[in-house]
Amino acid sequence: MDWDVIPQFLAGGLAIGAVYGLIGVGFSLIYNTSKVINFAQGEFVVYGGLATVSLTAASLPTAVAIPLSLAASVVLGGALQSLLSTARRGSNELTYIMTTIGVAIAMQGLAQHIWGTDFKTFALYSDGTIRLMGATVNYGTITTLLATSTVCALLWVFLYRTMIGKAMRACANDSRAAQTIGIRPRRMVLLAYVASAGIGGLAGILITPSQMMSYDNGVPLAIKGFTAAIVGGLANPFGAVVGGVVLGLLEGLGVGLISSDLQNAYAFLSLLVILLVRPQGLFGRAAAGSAR
Amino acid sequence: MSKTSGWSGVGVRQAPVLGILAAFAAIPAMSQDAYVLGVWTFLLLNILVVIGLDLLLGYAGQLSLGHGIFVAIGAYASGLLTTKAGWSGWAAMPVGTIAASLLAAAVAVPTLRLRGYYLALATLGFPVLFDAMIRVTSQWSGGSSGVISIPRLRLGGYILRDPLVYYYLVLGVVAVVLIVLWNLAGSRLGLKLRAIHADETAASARGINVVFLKASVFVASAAIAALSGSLYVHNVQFVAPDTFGLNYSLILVIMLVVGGMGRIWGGILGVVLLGWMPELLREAATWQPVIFGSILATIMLFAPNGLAGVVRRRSFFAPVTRKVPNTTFHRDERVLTVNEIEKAFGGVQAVTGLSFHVDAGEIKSIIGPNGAGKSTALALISGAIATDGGTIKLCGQSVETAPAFKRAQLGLGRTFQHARLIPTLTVYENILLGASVLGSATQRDEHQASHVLQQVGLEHVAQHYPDQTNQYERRLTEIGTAFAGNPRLLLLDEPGAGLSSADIEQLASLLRELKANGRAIVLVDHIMSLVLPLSDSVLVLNSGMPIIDSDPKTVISDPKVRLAYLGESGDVHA
Amino acid sequence: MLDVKGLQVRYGTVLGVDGLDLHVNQGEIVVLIGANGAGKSSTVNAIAGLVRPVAGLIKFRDADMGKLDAAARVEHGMALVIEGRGVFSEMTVRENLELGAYSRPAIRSAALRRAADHAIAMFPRLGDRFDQAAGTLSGGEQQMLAIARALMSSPKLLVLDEPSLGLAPRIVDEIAERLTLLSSEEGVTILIAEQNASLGLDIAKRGYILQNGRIALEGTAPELHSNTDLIRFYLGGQSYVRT
Repeated sequence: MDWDVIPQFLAGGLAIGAVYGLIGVGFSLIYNTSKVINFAQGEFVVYGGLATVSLTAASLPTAVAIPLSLAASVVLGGALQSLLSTARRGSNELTYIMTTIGVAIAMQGLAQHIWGTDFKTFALYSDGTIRLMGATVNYGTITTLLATSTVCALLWVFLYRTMIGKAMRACANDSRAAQTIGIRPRRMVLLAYVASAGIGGLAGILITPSQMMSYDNGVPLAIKGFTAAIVGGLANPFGAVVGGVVLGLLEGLGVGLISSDLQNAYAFLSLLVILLVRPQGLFGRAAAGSAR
Repeated sequence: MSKTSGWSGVGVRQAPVLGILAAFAAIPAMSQDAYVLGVWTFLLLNILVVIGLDLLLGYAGQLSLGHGIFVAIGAYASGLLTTKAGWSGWAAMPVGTIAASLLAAAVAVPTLRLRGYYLALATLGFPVLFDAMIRVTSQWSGGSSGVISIPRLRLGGYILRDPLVYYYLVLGVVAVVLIVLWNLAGSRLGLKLRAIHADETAASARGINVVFLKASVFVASAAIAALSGSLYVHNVQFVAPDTFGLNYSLILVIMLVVGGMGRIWGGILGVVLLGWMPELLREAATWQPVIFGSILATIMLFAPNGLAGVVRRRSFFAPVTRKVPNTTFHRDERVLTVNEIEKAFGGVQAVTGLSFHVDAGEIKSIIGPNGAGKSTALALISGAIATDGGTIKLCGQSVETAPAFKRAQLGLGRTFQHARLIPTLTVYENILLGASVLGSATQRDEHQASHVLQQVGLEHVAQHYPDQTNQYERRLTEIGTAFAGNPRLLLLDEPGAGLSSADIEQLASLLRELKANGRAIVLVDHIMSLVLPLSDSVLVLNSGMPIIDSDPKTVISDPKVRLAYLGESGDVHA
Repeated sequence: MLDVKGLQVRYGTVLGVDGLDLHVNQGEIVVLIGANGAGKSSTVNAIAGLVRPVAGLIKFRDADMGKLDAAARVEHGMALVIEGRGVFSEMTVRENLELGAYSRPAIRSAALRRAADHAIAMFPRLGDRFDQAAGTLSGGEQQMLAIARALMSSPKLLVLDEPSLGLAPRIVDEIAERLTLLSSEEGVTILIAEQNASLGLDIAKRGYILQNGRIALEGTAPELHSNTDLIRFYLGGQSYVRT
């Protein structure tokens, strides 16, 4: 065993992990405001990535293509929430969850018609690497980490420094009390879907250049994002980013040291282990009620 | 009388299943075309999976999005063991079934322990994981090209090749599984699963081991799915991993949802309706996901009960007329001892240093202003929430760490402040659920439940669902459910709230009767006309702390109590 | 200022409030007294827009509130402190107060801080805990925070649902005192739904007694104090001790 390669595996896992973390943030935002696990979260990632592929292929500059793709994701997120809000009064969580599953299947089917079944990619950054602590880190990794950090910083400012962000947290905490001070919970839920879809779309844009994207990547990406959110504690969106990085590093090591065929299995096993050992996540306070 | 009704009951009860099976048995009469029979065989195999899935999703309310992988495990176990190891198909079949059960158990432990939809996400990972496993083991699993030339099943020297014969073989298996599941779902097990689906806390309070039951149903449905997979490969003689992609698992769920969850026959309807769609949509095969996904979303949003939802569920349980002797317990035996229990929520100390005891045949009331910690105290004693400290002894056993269902089985019955009946069960079924705390002999429980129904005077609404009854009837149902299990100790949380004074009189005489049988009762209520005449002793809680524990007369004239209730300054009235 | 006529609230088949009339005049403190389950919470929740009544008219400052959601009613000058306080337990005291001014987007930074200081001045205990999560406060402090938060929207009418819930008498007295000051010095109109009759009648001008979703009795505070053996409503009337 050549231990020198480990930093390299970790460097590879770091960037992917950051993207998983972003997907997890989306799960966390929606779950906290509406207690729904949005199974269509992975489809936003696919659409964000593939839309950018199409737009750049239509010879739009990436600086234009990316905002357009993000705008498309945001619209899809808003549309999904509007659809869910038509559910009958008194519908339970299972209804919402299964609706998002239906939407995810339909979105995946549509993606196949729009983009076909091939893996696609676009160029976001130039090839090139720097050496860092025994690993060769390419520009892609650096771009991804910078973008993730920026999103986290913006999200933090939004949630902790703006009134509307605080209102969203208040809603997650006690939506009934939030109504008594003039907050409209439905708007906050809509905002959560829009933000989650936008962040998911960005995750797609970040991962497509290095990993390629195809219409059916939504489900594995959703599972990884969800695992990231659970590892970090579903109640805390920033925990999801850390959870994603932990998962990415594990996956990087697993792919490097065991087998790349099992790339999708590591997240699954991590999910089972974390649910078994610490269901509230690394940073969560008993988010999951244990059945007594 | 009970005998005749019993027999006609059995007939009525089995009629839907027998009708369905007869219809399937008649299908070859319409067409003996090998292709058509092949499709119907395939539909029957899906029915097998979907009715198992219904027990899990429709009854217990747990979502599996990877059920197709259990089918795959059955298929691969049979395919590989027969082609690579030369086993007979019959011998391979149980191997696949056991393997699927083991996988289900391994996933159930971490996910079903928790409330929420963790099982759904974990099982969503199955198809991807399975695909990876097949690729990693491709040297013996055949990789993506699959396993070919799988032998057909044999009976002695006879090879089951004829499509008609195979159709009837599969129908036979479906018949056995269907009849078993139909009767399980219509039995008390079905009631318990519906209770879990509706309200896990209330289910635990009725002595149901929620986690174990959810896990068992998941394992059983996985085993049935694997059986379907085995039967499938011996018919088509070929298996490849892409048959069992995510879409297959999702379509299983969609067929169930469209037909209607929680009805067994709903799933069958869904398979027959949607199972043909791949055939019909052959031209537009690539649009299938879009169509299926849209169907699922639409059904869930606008008709979550599916097609079967248009017919209201028919209950298999009816009260019987058999006199049951009242159980009486020895008086003066110590039933409950609570010692220094406490609980804080955040910075708020909900209960502090609460100690008291109750003997058989004693009614102890806990009163106090709103927010004094009365409901919290009951939740701590019943095990619905965990204590921060202190000890609780129930009939001599320490139970402070025991889960709620264990305490219920040890003889603790409770009601909730806002009646938590299971809305999907009839009044009688709710009470029967309470009577089945120990899961003992069916007959005796039914007699007991019928007796309780009579005792609380609810025979006229026995077959009504809770939303068809009035508040007093719901309250009585809740109380009946709590004492139907013959508990030594009854915890009643505001049984009188919202009742008229006439109703309260009746409630009081019911409680006196229960007391006379030697039950220990802890009564929490605000209605003093109920509490004071009934109670042997009254404990007053204020701000989570006991301020007095004495006989009703002493309590009512105690200045501290008036102060706690009315906020009057002690010195003004002292 | 507030005029409620023929209010009916239903939960499923259960009637929570059955044809209730009440009014609150400018500058008054009015108390709505009733035992548990009498319909107090249903009434104030319907007034604030948290539950939709099946029938009845709610007029506030001469406008019909029927079509408005809870948030719009806050913008109209009504603030409700819900039963059980409803502080945002995972957010700091400061954030809770800031959010109280959510319906007044015009006030920001300096003005916001002034408003918060003003609210804190009423409940000095909160000042020491400005950056603590609200969930770590004691019950009394949480109630004070909830009231202070409601005041951040500069309400014309403050509605309180069981402010004494689960609190020690000393704390209840302190809160009562603050509410009196609020009314006398700042002219805030106050409607209190209470089980604790004393807290209500000691500080209120008028009161209503609620039983089974209807007004059983109404009058000035002294009238209610003297005319009724209030204890009957709690300790169950004449027949409570059978000897």
